[in-house]
Amino acid sequence: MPRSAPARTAATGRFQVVDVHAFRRGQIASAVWPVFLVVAVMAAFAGEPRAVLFAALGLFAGWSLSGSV
Amino acid sequence: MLFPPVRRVSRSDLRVALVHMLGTVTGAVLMATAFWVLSGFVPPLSNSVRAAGVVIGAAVVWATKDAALFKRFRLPENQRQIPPEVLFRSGLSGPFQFGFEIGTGVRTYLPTGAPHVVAILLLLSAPTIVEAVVCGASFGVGRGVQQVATAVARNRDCFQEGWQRPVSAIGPFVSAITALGGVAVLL
Repeated sequence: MPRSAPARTAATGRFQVVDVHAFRRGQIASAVWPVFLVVAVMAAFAGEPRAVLFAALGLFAGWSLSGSV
Repeated sequence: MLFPPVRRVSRSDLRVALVHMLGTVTGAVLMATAFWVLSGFVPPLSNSVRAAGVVIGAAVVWATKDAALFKRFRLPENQRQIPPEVLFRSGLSGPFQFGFEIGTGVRTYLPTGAPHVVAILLLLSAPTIVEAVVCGASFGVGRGVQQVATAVARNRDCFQEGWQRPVSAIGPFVSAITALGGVAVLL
């Protein structure tokens, strides 16, 4: 069984029992995946720093809207 | 949310999420291409003037989204949710269209100012078509990847809560960070 603990949820601000492992996996995935994608773009567009910056900005803008529908 | 909160043993969830992301990428690339076309109408300007335009634009976006002007002015934004009927159409056309509408950024809420700042940057920076398409595709990936990750998570509610935590933490600074990146593009 996963460990669980009360935590304040971002969506409601209330305390709920949270699956800590799933929560941490979500945090890590959210923070780490853009790095891998930017590295992949850097490899694909080596020598084109502007394209890499545009890619990073696009990723960041998209990520900042996570959870919104 | 595309999926039920508890994971079922189903490969179709991942397929739905990938089709959704294909939709977000398609919609975002379409919009980036439109901004690339519009950027052709911007008169020739020096890089410093373009950078100043990006900074001023980002400041207006920040002030409107996060600061005192929030209640007085509204940025171009369609403040409504995409109807759920779109998502629940038969087959994969529903998730694709849902993703497409999200990817364009013109059919739903935009909680941060980053898309507006990127749009200003695309208009003012005279990007090549490759740069515009890369920017749009990246935006679409950024918009859709959360659903792909959630599709393979066991406890989806908690996973999404965790995913949202870093996003919420930097929310008020998103416009400024994007503007800094935009200035880096121009200098």
